[in-house]
Amino acid sequence: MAPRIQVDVVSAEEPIFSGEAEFAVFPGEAGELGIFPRHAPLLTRVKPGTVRLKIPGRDEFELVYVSGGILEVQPTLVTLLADTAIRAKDLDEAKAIKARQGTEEAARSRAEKFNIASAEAELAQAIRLHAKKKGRNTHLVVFCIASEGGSVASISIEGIKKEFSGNVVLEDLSLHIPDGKFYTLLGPSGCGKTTLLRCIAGFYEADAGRLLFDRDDMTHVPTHRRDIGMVFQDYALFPDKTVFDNVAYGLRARGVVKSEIRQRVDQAVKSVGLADLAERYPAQMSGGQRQRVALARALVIRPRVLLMDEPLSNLDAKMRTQMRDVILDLVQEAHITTVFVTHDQEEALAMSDQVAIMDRGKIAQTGTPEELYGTPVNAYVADFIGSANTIPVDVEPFDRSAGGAMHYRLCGRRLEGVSGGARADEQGGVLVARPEELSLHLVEPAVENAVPGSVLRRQYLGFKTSYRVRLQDGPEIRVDLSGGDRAIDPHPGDPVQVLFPPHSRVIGA
Amino acid sequence: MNLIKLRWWPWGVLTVIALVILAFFVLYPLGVLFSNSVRDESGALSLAGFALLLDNSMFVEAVGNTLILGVTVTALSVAIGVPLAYMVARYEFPLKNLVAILPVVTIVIPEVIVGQSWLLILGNNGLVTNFLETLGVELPSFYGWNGLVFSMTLVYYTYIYLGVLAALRGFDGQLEEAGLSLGTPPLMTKLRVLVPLMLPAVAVNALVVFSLVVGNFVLATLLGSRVPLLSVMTYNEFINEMGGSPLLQSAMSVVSIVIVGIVLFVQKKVVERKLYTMTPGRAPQAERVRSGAAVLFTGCVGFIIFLSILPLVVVFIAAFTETSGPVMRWGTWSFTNILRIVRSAPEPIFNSLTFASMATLAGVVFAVLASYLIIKKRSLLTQSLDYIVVMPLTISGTVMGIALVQTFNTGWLVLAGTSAIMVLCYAVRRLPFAVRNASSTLFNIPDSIEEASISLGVSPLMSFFKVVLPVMKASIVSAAILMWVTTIAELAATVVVYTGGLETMPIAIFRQIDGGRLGLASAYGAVMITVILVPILVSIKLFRINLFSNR
Repeated sequence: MAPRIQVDVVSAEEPIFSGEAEFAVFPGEAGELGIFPRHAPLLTRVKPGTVRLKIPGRDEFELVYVSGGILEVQPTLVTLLADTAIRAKDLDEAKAIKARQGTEEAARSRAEKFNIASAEAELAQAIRLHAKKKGRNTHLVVFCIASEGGSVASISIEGIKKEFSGNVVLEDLSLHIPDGKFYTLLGPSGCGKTTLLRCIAGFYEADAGRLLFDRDDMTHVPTHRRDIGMVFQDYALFPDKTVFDNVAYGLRARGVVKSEIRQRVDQAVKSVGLADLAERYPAQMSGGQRQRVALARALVIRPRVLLMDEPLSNLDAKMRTQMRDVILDLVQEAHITTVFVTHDQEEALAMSDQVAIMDRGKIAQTGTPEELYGTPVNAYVADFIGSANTIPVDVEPFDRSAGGAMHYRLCGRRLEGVSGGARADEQGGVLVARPEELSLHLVEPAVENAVPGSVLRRQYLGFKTSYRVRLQDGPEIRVDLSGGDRAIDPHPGDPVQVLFPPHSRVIGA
Repeated sequence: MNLIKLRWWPWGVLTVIALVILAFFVLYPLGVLFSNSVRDESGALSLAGFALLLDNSMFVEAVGNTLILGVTVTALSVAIGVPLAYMVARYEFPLKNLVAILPVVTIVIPEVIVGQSWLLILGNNGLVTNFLETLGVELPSFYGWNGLVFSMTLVYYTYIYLGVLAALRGFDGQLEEAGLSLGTPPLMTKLRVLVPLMLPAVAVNALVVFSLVVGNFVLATLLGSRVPLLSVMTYNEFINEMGGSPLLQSAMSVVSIVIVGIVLFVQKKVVERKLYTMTPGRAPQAERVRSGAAVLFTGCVGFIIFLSILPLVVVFIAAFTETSGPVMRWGTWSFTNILRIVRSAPEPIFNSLTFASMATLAGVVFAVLASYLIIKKRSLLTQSLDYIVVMPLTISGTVMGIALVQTFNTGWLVLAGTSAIMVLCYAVRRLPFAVRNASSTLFNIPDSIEEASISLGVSPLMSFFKVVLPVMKASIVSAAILMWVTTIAELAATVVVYTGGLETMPIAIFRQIDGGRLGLASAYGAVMITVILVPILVSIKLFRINLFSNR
């Protein structure tokens, strides 16, 4: 682990970074090159030019930022930094890197080893150029602005394909997940949502396509260098380790110093409300508690993205709702890009900023929960989000310029509706009518925009009553009347009129 | 190149290495054995060996005897093991908990000790034989069919017992209740519901016992001097042909591999398919039996346990009993036997300890790696690993030894006559058991904890060491102990591969028995059992391991 130090990096125009940073200095003969590779991809954010480095209690330093994360520094700074904290481990790592420097091949092997991804080629190039230009008389300090402390990555999925022995699970799928958002992949089992998540995590390598965290190509980066946090369905706690050791695991792997591990783990365990249970083993905890540990373990490393694979599905109903809040609180506080996989539409609606509904390896629709509920693009989405009666109808030709208003024919009646994707020039469409939007009326007097039918079954559910109604010469549909607006309460066999509100949407067949 | 590297490192590379090692030490020796069986003196292909065998009436008789013995012992083992299991699973009776020691007993008491101690009791000069003689009753000779069937049944019935007991415990009692509720009377219900579901479990274990009897060398050679048997004959041929062409020994070995191979094939492909997996429902309540029946139950079970443990007791008593030649002076105590072996011939003890340690270490490391690859990194390659790893199951110790000696006595790698071949032989023979042991644990470790470790930034290889191994600790220890215990007691293969200076304790016992010095044999036996028992007790204490849960 590199020494850490509080710094401000400021370019002429704007502050680039403020906070704790990792750095490595590779001293020795004058002119040695150094890079510190751990988080090098982030350096691509820094634009070349002059930047200033401020270390509290020290003079300000002018640095020439070359490119690809290389900063040119005066010898005094090198000495200063070296004095501050240089460890044998860093030196060894530096020597190892140096030994490999020079050739294209070496740059590539380094890229593999250190997850420098696309920035690496640029970096290697810059180092070579720099060395050529400056001869061997300058020092270089390469800064690694740690991903920790608010570095959130967006995730771009570009045309990813995945098949398992001929069985296509993801088909040319593209998706952009904006940074800092709570993004849910929703779909029934077998729709490919978990496969997609595991591709993002790196447990599966996609057969085609690209995966980017921000601008960093992660497609071929192995999981353990992706800097992700993952929460598993079965919690996946290490059964032989205490809560504390479980949470500390990722920090230890990153070589964080002991005192800091203690402080950060304590803080993480406290934040999930398990401060008293740090010395417990997983087997001694309830499902909800285990899930909290798993969350703390994934978040304590301050990953670039947080991935959650149906984390609530093993909990009982009550605990599930409770854990939703816990997750949302933590994720908001960490301000982290979160990809959440679930088959539970209620969970998706309640928690997400954005939802992608998946259907057989493809994205059916993306949008905010409101958009998906309010304006589903097809019957699949309509039925998956909430519940909906989807009834094939005949569409009358309509004028697009007149907004969405249109007419359709159902059970021989002409009804008014709104086009939600039905085409003006097509005959067939599907009416999407949510049970709670429909209402029931007595046969007399005749109601506008209604279809006669008869009640088949009545189910009393407390806050609402659910009716199964057969439309005259038409299909069976469901109508839900809530306790309050239940003007009538028909029983099986009673004839009724079903009112289809004029804002009901008709979508393409 | 990048991609290839990602996919092959580290598990692909390790799989290939494991396969190469196994191919070299398992497949290759078997190949040599098979090829030797179809070559005449000049090295040309011929079936002369098998023709000679068929012409040899003694050989045909030996094969017949072996099969008869197999069937008889299996039938008797079933006759004892099944009722015992049923009594234990379904009834409560006094002292029932004693049966818990049965699995330990079968593992701890080596066959050579069983044979020897029953000779001490029922042999020509045996305790009971002599006692009955004073009463004027003459027992039939223990050497031959009587001794073989008696001692083998006592060794092998526990396999049936444990297998059937596990099946009975996994039986969903509600099925029987369903039968009763549908109107069949209790006995009929058992017959129609319980019996069909238990039969496959009985058959699977019966076939295992049969194959073990066919391959058994130790008891066969100790007690079967008047009954020609395949394993002993193969060994004798091995001794006869020493230095000459290994034609007949190879042909005989092939015959025994084929017999066991057929049995295990039937077991795997026919019987195991019929095993029912039941959703673990409510286990039926054990029924408490009353006075008369309780005495009967306790008596039966107690008698069986008594017979099983007796060898242990007899050997320790005999080790400290004064002896002159073959005559045991029962009731007189002395340290002479123990002191003699410790002072004048302790090498077998050291050898046993050394070889067993090395074989255990090598075997466990390999078994953990192999089972990890087989369970967690499924691929065509690891599947073949899975197949090769269980191959030694079809090969009796004697045959394995012969194959290794034939393969590694010439050429660029000469192991015959070195301690390496002993270690190799032990490790390979016990590999299937160790792999099975480790696999069952690995199977229960979810992949997600490894993935969790990787997602937290630890490389796949390091994740294996930091996450998987610690969770496997208990099963590794128990695999190691089982390996250690069975290796210490190994005789069937040792007798083939050992050379002067490399004698192990079982060899020493074998020789002392052969020379009629039962006191010395017992002394070695006592030491051997101590060496076996100590790590078991330590591990149970230290690691709180249930050694036998995986069997």
